[in-house]
Amino acid sequence: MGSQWLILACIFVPLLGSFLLPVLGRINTNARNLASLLFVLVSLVCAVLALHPAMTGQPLRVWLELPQGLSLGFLGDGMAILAAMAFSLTAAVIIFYSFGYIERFENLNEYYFMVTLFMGAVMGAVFSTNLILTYAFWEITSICCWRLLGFDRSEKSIRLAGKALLVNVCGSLLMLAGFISVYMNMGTFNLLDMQGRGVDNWLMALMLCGILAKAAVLPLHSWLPASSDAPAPVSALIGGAVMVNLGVYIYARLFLAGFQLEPVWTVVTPAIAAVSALISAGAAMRETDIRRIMAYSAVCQTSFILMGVSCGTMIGAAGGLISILMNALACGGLFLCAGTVERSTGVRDINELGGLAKNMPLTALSFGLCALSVMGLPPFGGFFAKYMLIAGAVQSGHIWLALLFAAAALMTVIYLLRVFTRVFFGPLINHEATERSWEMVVSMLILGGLTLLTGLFINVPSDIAVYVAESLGRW
Amino acid sequence: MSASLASLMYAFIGLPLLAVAGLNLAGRRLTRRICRPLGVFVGLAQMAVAVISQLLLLQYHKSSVSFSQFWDMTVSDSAAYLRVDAFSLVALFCIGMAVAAAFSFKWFDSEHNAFNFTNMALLLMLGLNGAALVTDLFSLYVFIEIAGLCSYTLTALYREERGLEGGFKQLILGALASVLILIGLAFIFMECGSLRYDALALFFSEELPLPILDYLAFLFLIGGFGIKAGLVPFHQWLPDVYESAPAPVSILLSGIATQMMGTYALIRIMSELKGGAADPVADAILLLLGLITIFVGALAALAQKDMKRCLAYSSISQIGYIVLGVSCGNAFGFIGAMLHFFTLTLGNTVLFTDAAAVDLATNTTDMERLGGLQKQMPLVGVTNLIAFLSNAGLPPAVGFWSKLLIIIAVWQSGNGFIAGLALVAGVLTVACCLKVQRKVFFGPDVEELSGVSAPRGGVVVSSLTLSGLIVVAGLLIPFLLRMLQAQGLF
Amino acid sequence: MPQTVIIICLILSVVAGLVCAMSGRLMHAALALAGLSALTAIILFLFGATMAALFELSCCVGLVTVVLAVAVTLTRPDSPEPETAPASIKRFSVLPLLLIFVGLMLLIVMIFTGFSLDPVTASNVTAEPFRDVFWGTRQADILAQIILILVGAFSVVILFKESE
Repeated sequence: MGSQWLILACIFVPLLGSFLLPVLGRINTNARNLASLLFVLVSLVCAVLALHPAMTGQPLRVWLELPQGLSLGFLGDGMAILAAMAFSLTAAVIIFYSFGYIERFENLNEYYFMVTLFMGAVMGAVFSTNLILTYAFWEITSICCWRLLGFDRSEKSIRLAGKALLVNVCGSLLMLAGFISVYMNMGTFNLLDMQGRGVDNWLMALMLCGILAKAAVLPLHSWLPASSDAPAPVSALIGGAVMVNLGVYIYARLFLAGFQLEPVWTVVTPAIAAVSALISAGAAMRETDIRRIMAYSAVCQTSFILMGVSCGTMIGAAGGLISILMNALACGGLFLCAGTVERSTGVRDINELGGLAKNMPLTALSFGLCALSVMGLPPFGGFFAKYMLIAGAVQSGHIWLALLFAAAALMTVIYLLRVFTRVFFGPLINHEATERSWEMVVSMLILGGLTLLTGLFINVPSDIAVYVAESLGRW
Repeated sequence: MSASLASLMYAFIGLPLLAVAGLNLAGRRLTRRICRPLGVFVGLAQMAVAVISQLLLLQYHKSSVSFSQFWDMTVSDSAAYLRVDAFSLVALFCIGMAVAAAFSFKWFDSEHNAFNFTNMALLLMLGLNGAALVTDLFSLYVFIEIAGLCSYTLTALYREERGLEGGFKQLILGALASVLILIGLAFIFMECGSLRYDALALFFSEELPLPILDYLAFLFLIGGFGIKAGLVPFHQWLPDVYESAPAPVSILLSGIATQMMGTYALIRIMSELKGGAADPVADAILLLLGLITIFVGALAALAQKDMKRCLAYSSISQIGYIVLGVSCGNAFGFIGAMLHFFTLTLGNTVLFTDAAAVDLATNTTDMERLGGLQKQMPLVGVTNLIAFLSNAGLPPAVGFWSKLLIIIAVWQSGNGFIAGLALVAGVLTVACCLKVQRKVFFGPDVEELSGVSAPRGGVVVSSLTLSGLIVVAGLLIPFLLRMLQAQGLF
Repeated sequence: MPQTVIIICLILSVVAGLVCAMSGRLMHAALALAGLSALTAIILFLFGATMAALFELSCCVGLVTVVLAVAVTLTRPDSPEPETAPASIKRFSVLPLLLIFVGLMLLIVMIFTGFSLDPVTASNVTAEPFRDVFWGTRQADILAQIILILVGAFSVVILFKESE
């Protein structure tokens, strides 16, 4: 087995450990909170440790032989490690944020249980090489998402959470139908055996349904803005940082490292993504609810990533992979800041907010850092990511795509500036707002700081991403 | 070796029989008090014996064991011997589990009712055990009749109007089913001269095309067992009966009785009679009926206002999946169908136990009046969720694997489109799960129900254990597949 | 010749069954049931299944009818004035029509499958002594019968006994 236990630990520590949390919670709530954080940190550490084997061309692998092509396996290659690091890092920070935010809610045992289980399932989906296993973990994330979105048990959130689950399940069942068709054609569910083999267009369409639903890309995006009513860390985890990015990651896993697509899909999918980015950016420009703006922003940014991985060029693919990291950090940070603002002032409408930079300087700082990264300005990490994405679009030969995305990027700048100046600058409206708990502040600062750091030290993640993109070997 | 294994099998008949005898022959005061523990003990013991038997079968590398009661097994043409193989052991395990769950709570206020229930439930168990053990179609029919009679009486246990009406409805439809089954058996007997499984397998593997009488026989058998199983369009009686039966009776009925009498019989007959010959007409009809059942059941469940009726229609939908698996006609399909049988019995037992717990605590199962019970009954809510997700086919519950196997089997036998439809119909079951969860558990609090207290004791233990089993079984299925591959079934 | 007798017996047994189901008085129903069983026994005998006819006659006609009659006379269910014949016929008027319909369907089936009413024996009925068949070949059914008797007894007790 050797060091393969790293992969298994990365997945199963949070997955199985989450079941201990309700029990722990009855004994000592602090122990439960710390355990939850610890499980996710274990994932992060294991992912980092598994990076070296991945970069030297000998990724760690776990394998369980089963009949009829149903063999299960996990593979720790570069793409998976990158995503795992991004997700677990962001999730750890978000959990830390929850320590301060979530205390006033009930059912905390269920909260921490679901969050940790969710992360375990995400790790499982990231590392899995078997389509059935991927589907299984994918569905577990949908179920956790349902429980988390309906967390406050109000009539409205229950309904919206149910809707989200139905959209996701519909999409993933179509995706499963696609997987089974592939199995019928190829006799196996193992992705590694399917590398470079072609799939029919309609099968691709089926699988795309599931991905679009999870990634909240138009036209299956409707559940995401509705999630802005959930507690802030839940929104961040699901809408901003992890779940939607999981969708695009699975796209990369299936169609970059897996099947060979017809060239038509290098136009269709980016086109869908472009439409999604434009419309959601437009909606973000017009919305006045700060958390819904962040939700639409997440849809927009995820569409960017989808464009990058689907446009068929190496730069685009590398850019997409980097964006997973940058997006997780920055969008996650934006969600957390929006949540802090709402918690401190009790107000969500940006017309009723103003001048908060005076009372909540650290929040303003974090928001600014994350926003600059999302806007794509140097020296932040988001700049390099966006640059590679648009360069990828240009290189693919479809200039109009690049133009559409540049337009969406411009709109991003506009709506983020709008929110930033309206909320944090100008005359102070909300006098009683203060920075709340230190955990919330520290987590926001960490994420903001990371967006800057990853930009300054861009060579580290970009080396990994470029290595991964090059090793896909299909350019 | 074989003798020790065979003697273990006698427990399946002996245990309930001895329990009934003991219950009625011992002193009255003593027996009235031990009804419940006795029932639980018999159920658990049967589960244990089933598991041990399967392990012994594996250890000795045998696929089945035959045993005879009193006489020599070498008598030719003997219908005397009873046989245990993997399918029977799964069924026997499920029977034991459902019985143990039905006895897990003190449902009855009066000892008189408890005594009556125990007797009838143990006899029901005997009948179902027999159905799982026999090797002859006619004996299968007789034992199913026994189980049917017991279920009619159990439904009418309280002798009040609802139960009597439900029992009577069951009786009439059961009689109709029996007539159809007997006609089918008669036709087969006319052609083959024997009703034993092995003789029939031999007969059906040789002749193709079959004489028309045999096609008709299959039609009648499907009709008769379809009524018993609750297949659309014979399903009308099922929700009414589940709703009107007393709580533990509905657990028994939905958990195991309808499954055994209907779907298990279908699985057994189709898998035994296959041999080499495939009966395309019967397969096509089963495929069609299965698909219709899936959709009608799921859609009807979404429209229900009463919790138990909703669960009843949802379980009808799952029966459709089992029938789909049977219609494939290959080993893969039958294994998938049997696994889904297991899923359904586990799931239904938990669901109806929880419904009974809710009913006990709040005196209503009308979903319009219930709500927010997750707070008062957290464990009931969680087990309800797990069981429903298992029925819907979501991982990591065992229902995911069983549905997957069935879908793959149907796809492999050439009906890709139907398989895809059946797969996507899972959304409907998820929607139904969401509806029940939202209306009963996972929603805002309801004023009148704030004083409701959670059920304690046996109910919680049984539904927790069974939900745990659902998840654990789901995690272990890959290893089961490896085991089956080692046995050469794939 | 045997064929006509069989057909007559079949028709009479259907009539007896209808009377049994539709009658408003318990005693009449019990007697009709006895008549039905007797006719069935005759048919079985004509088909050559002597053992089955014997059992049918002794158990169904003899035992069951006697027990039923005794039970009816002993319990004297105090129902209100039993339904008059026209009323009960009206209540169950669908039943004969249903039976005729089913009969027609079966007739069609018969024609297509080349059924015949000649008494035939199953193709490989061996001349095994009856006791071997009873105690050897069909042991499972003996067990089933024992259980059925228990079930019947308990059902009657549950459904009819007044609770203490």
